[in-house]
Amino acid sequence: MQENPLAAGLGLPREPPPLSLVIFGASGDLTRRKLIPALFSLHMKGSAARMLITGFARRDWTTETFRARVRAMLDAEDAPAAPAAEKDAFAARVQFVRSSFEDREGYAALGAIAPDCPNRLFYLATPPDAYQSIAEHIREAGLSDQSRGYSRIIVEKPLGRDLASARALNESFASGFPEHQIYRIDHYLGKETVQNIMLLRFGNEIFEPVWNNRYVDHVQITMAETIGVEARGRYYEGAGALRDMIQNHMLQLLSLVAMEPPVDLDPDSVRDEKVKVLKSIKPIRADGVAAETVRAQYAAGIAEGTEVPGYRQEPDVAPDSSTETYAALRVSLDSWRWAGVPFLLRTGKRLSRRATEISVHFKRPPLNLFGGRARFSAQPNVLVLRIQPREGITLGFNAKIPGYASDMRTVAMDFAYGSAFAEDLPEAYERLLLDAMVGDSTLFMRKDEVDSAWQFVTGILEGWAEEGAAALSFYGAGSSGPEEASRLLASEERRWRRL
Amino acid sequence: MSATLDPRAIEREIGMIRERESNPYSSGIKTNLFNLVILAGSGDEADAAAPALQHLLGRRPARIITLERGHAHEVQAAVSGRCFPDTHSRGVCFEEIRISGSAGADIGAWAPLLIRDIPVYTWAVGRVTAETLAPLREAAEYIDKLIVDSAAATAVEAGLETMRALRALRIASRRSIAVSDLAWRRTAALRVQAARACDPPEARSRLASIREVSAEGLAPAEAAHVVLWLAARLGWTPAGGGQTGPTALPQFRDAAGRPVRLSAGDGEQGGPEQQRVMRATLGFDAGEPLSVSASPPSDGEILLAEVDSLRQDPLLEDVLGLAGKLP
Repeated sequence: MQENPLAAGLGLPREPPPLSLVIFGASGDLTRRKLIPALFSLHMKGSAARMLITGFARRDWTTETFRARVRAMLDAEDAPAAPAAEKDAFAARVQFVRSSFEDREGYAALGAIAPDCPNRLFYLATPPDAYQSIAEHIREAGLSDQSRGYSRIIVEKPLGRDLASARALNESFASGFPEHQIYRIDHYLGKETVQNIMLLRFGNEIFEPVWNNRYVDHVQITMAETIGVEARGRYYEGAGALRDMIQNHMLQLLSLVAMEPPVDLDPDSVRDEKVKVLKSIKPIRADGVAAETVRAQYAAGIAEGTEVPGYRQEPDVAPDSSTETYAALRVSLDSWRWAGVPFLLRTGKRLSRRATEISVHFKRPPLNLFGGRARFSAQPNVLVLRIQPREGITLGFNAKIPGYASDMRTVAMDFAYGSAFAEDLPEAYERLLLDAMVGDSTLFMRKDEVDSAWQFVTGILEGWAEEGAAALSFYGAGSSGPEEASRLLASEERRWRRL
Repeated sequence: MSATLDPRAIEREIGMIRERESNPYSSGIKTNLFNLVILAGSGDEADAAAPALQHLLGRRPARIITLERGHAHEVQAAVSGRCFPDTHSRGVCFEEIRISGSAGADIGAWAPLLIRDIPVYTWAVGRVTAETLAPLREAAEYIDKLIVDSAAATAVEAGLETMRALRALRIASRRSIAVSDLAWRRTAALRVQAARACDPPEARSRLASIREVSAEGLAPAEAAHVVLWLAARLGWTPAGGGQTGPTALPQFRDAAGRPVRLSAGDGEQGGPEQQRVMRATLGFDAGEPLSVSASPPSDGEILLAEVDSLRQDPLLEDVLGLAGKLP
C-alpha cells in the first residue's frame, strides 16, 4: 500500500480505536478504586473519546444506579480534581448490564449494546474462578470474534494457585481467546519506576558493563508493607506472601533487573528476554527450602506506633493458620551473566516501613588500599532503585573525609522523581488500560512467563508442604522481619538493607 | 571601566532564597533540570513570557535568566525564587534572575550565571530577525536549543524571515543548536489531524491531486508552516508570484508541476485563554474537499514539551530548509 507521506515524522499519538469496554465485576472494589479513576483520567486526556463503557455484575443495579455510583466514585475524597461537567459527561457514557456470569442472556445483552462496534475489550475484575465461565460465554455469544476488529480480555492476578491450576486457567481461555488476545495484568509493570528499570539499564552506558557477576556481589529485592491483611483475611489464607507477591510482582521485578537487552522494543522481544530469566532460575525443591527460603507470620506488636493484633487474630483467619505473611528467598540464576550472584527476595506484611526497592550491591575493590587506618572501612557501592515510596535512584559510594588522613565514608548521590519532575506520576492502571486498548502487550505477562514463574514457586510450595507448619517462624508486627532471614545472606559481609 | 554584574553576589542571594524557602522537614529544594535564558527586547516583551512560564512552575525546576535588552546601557539585576504554592512542592522551583540594560545581553554578563552541566534553552520572545539572533552566534557554545515564535510577526513574509534566521543560526552553529518555533508547534495538532484524515488508502491516493489548500484561524506564520510542511512532505516546489499582502502565502507547484492554490483566511485567532480552532481544507482535482480542524495547545504546554527535549524536529528542519529556498 502507498505510504502516507503526511504521517512521516509526526509520531502520531496513541489513540484507541472506537471500542466497547466491558467490566465484569463492575460492582467490586477494583472497579471503584482503580478502573473508573483510570478510565476517567483517560477521558480527561481525550484518549477515551470513542469508548463505550459497560459494567456487568449480578448486583441489582440499573444503568442509572451505576452512573450514580460512578459519579460518586469521581467525587471521592482521594479522586483527582476535575470539572463537574466532565464527571457528568463521563458518567453519562457508562451503561450497566445486570447478569450473573453464567447467564447467556447477559452476554446477548452485551452484544446488543454496541453491535456495530468492531473492537471489544473485556476486563475481568472478578474472582479467578469466574474466568473460565466468562471466557466461554463471551466466545459462545460471538464476542471474541476478530473478523471486524479486535476482541481482547484482561485478567487480574491471581492467575492460579500453583502450576497445575495456572495451566488449567490458561487452557480455559484458549478456546475463546488465542494468546495474543489475552492481556494478563500485573499493575506493578505499569508503574513509572518499574518501567524506568529498563531505561536505566539500557539507556545509559555506565551501568550495563558492570551489571554482571564480575562486579555484582548480590541483588536484593524488597517489597515491605506496614499494613496487615486488613479485610482480605479470607483471600490471604488461601494465598500467602509467596503466591500474593513473589510469584507475580517480585519475579517480574527480578526478570527486569536480570534480563539481557532485547533486540528491540517489540512486546515479544522484551517478553522473550524476561522469560529466559525466569527459565534460568535454579529450582528450589523440597530438599532446598530449608536452606534457600524463610517463611514467617506476624505476631502481635506495635506497628507505626499502634498496637496491632497478630495474623492469627485477624478477621477471617484461622487461629492456627500456617499461612506465611513474610517470605524470603535466595534465588540463583543459571545464566552466564548471573552465575554465582544470589538474588535475595523478601516480602512481608506488618513490617517496620513500607518500601519497594531493588538494590544492586557491588563487590569491594580488589585491593583495599585505604583499609588499614581509615575510620570507616570502604563500603561496597550500592545502587538502589526505589519503586515506592519516594520513587528514585540512589548510588552509594565512598568519598574522602576532609583532612590530612585518607579517611573515607559512604555518601549518596540521590535522584528523586519528585524533585526533578514535580508532577504526579501517572497511575499504573491508566497506562496499562491504554496499552491494552491500542494493542501494546509489552507490560502484560505472557502465558509462558506465568507458567515459568509458577513452575519455580510450585516447587517451593511443595517443599513447604512437606516441611509442615513447624518450619514457620514468627516476627513481631512493626519489626523488620524474622531473624531467620539473615541465614539467607550466606556471608557475614552481607546485610539486608535496613527498612 | 565599570563592573556590570557580580555573579557571586547573585549566587549568594539565590543561596539565601533557597535556604529561606525550603521546608524544614525535608529539603524541598528542587534539582534544577535546565537553564532557560529569555531574550526580550523590553520589559513588556519579557512580561509577555510570564503566562507560559507559569505553566512550567511547579512542574520543572529551572534557573530562569531573563535578559531585557532595552535602551539603557546600565545593567541592573534582580533575583527571586518561586515555586508552586502547595505544601508537597514547597521549595524553590524557579531561580529567577532578571537582568535589564543592553550590556546585560552580552554573553560575558550572563554565561557565568548558567548552571553548568544541565541544558541551556534560549527563548527569544517577540519578533525575531537575523539581527536579533546575531548576538547568539557568539553565544552558540552555551546554547543547546533556541526557541522562537515566528507568529510574533504579523505578516507571512516576516514570519518567513524569522524561519530563515533560525535556519541560518542552526547552520552557523554547525547544527549544534536545536531550533524550535512555537508557531510550528501550535500547528502540530492540525497536522496530526490532516495526516490521520489522509491515512485511509483511498485518501492517500488523493494526495497527489491536491489543487487547493486554505487555512483559517491561523496566524500568518502558522499558515505558512502548514503550507511548507505539506510542500516538504508532498514534494512540491516553490513557484513564485501569486498574491501580495500580509496573509499571502508562498506559492508552490505539485510534484507533477501543476500549480496549487494556497490561501489563508484571517479567521479569529483569539487569545491564549480562548479555545482557538485552526482549520485546513484540502481541495482535490475531483471529489469532496477534506477539512480538518484542531485547537492549538497553550504556549505553556508547548514550552513544557520543548524543555523536555533536546532533539531537533526533523520535520521543522525540512520546513526551514524550504523557507530558505523560497524566492
